Amino acid sequence: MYKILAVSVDELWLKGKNRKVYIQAIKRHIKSVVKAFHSDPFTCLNENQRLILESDISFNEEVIISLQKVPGINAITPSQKINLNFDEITPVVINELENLDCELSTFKVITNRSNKQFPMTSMEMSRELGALILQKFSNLKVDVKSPEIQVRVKVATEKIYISVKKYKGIGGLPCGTSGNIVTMLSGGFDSPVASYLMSKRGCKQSFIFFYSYPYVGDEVKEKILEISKILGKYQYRSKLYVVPFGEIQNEISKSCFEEYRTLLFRKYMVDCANLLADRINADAICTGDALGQVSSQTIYNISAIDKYSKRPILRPLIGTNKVDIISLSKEIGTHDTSVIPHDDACALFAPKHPIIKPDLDYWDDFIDRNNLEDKLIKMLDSSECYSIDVTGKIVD
Amino acid sequence: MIYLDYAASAPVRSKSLKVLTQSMTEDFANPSAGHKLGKNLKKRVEQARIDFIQLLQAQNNYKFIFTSSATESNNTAIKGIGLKKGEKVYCHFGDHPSLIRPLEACGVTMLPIPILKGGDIDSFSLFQNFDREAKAIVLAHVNNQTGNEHDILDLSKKIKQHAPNIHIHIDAVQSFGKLEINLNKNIIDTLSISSHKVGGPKGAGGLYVSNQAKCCPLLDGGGQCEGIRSSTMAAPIIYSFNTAAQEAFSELDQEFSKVVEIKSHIIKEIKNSNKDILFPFEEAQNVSPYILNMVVPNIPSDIILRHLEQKSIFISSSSACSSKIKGERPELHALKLDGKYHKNLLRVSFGHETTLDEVKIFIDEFLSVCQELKFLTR
Repeated sequence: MYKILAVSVDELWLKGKNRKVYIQAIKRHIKSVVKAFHSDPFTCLNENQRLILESDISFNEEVIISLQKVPGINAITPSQKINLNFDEITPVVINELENLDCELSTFKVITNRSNKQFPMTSMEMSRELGALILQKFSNLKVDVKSPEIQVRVKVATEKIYISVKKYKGIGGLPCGTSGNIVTMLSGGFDSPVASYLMSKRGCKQSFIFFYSYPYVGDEVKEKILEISKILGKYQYRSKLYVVPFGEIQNEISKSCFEEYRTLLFRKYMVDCANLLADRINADAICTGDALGQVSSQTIYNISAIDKYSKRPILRPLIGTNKVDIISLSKEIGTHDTSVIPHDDACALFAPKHPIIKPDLDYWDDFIDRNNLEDKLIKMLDSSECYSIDVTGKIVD
Repeated sequence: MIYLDYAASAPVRSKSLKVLTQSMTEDFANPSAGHKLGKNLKKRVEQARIDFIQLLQAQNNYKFIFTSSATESNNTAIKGIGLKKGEKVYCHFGDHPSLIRPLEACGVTMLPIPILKGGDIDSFSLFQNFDREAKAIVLAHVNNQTGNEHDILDLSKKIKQHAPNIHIHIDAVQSFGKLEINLNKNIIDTLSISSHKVGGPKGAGGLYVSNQAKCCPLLDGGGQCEGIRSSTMAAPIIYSFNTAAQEAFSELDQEFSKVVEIKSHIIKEIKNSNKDILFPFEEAQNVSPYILNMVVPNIPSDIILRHLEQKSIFISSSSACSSKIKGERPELHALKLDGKYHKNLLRVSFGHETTLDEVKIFIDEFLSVCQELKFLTR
């Protein structure tokens, strides 16, 4: 294992003057992830667009796996540090290559010499090291275009860093640098994927789940808790609010035209998410809507909902096909939980013929006559709140 | 709190609890130990064994084995027969999984006992084509979901006329301490019972084994319980179970009359107030008065269950062991319940602490929940 992890950051080159803020945010996030899995002291220093994590005790695999989920990280490169001496490079590289457990056959040496005092040029070093590797490993060939192994040698001011492995991060922007949002979660595939995408775009999230007990059982809530724990790993500390919603659904169902039920549920859910956003200073609402996927997600229904939302509603999946959403859910780890069947209150109340293009006169009139704000505030007051740490654990 | 889920488990009787707590403190020795402490415990365990045998008039012909649960009793009885792969066994697919799974594990060919609509056994069909090669028949005296009660003595007699050497195993979990069971004719080979269904502690069950029946042990060890069930005898739990059983039998007739009245009251009141609610198993010839099933068409039963639990009324939306399974259920098909009702089946069950007054409250609340949820059925 490795005592040094070089973390390269994504998109920060775009950020010009704001770079300091972004670096601070990502550093804070990285430190708290490392601390959760690495009990020994470590340092986290800036070095030429990278952050270098270093400890006297090797970092374990969990640190790397968790860092891969930190938004803003482009890649994590476990590295060895040696003195400014070319002769020390070869044995370390050979040892590293011998430890690669898979059968790889092509490589390339990439040397980066920021320390111009070092007597050899980058080209010379790459060439010489490449030749030595070829001598030692008869099964390896050089491929400069798409090598399976990249042997990286970085000659810095005081030391040389060597790495052969690289772990991809999710990239994007550090958590919180794009603001706070309230993400509406259901038990399905879409909303967790939407949350993930907004995590990558630097949004710090609070999750809100509308719990239709007694129309659904607590297994649905357990499922949401599981999903939130997974999504929490892409966040720098998040919260889940479980809002009791059965009573309001019952009330709406009894007072509206049946075909408007689902749409009105969504409208009042968005209201409630906005009320939560008021309390926690969030700037937008996020949902897993994909245009036309179900009847409540037609362009007309979306615009009817947006008309009454105090904040912008972010819909990162709006143009995404279901199969692509499902395959993303597999990648981010929410698939196996989303796929568990559960009672869905919306399905239970679902009208036989849900409205696709609402009559706006009726829509406006119903909303005008049914101001449920006091009730929604009451529901929000009685919601359960769970805090989730960077490792995805629920904390008190 | 109004608890109407006795078929799943019953509250511990106070006498039984007292015996348990006292014995847990005092009776720590091993009943198989050679010293006085152990010997005294053993003596009392043996007395409990005799007490259980006497409860079902099983003197002279039966051994009684203490187990950890009725599931263990059923497994011991079924696997202990020594059935070979492919041998034929009659069973009822509507019965509890602890009767079905052990048969599957033995790899036997399972012959379904024919069932009529309403849940009765179709004995005409059964005996018209009775397979004399069948090695065993496995059946619950009272079905845990529906309450269908089968005349096990009459049935066993007829079965043995067709196949004298067949092994008859009866699961009497829902009837022990509630209905008359008599083993003095020695026709039934093995019969299992449970402690917590009669108000004893959880973690105890029992198995009656006829002297002529084959019963190989599941567990090898110290050879307790005549070698059929090795394990240190759980003296405190056994005493407490015995206390509950004795009390249940001493109150059997009076409790029976009480629940008959309770059940008929519920049916009458609900039929009067809501014509939509169905009682799918009440058309059967014999149904235990301790169990009542209802179907509220179009309203999933777990939604009713949760509405009632908000009012501190506890019922079952299906058998407690499989309540997580959604949609249509094979065991309900085996009980001849139309698939469209499988999600709508509710079970209320009664026991020693149930009163008519609390049942009246249940009826009011239940009817009001059905009324409240009526909009879902449109």
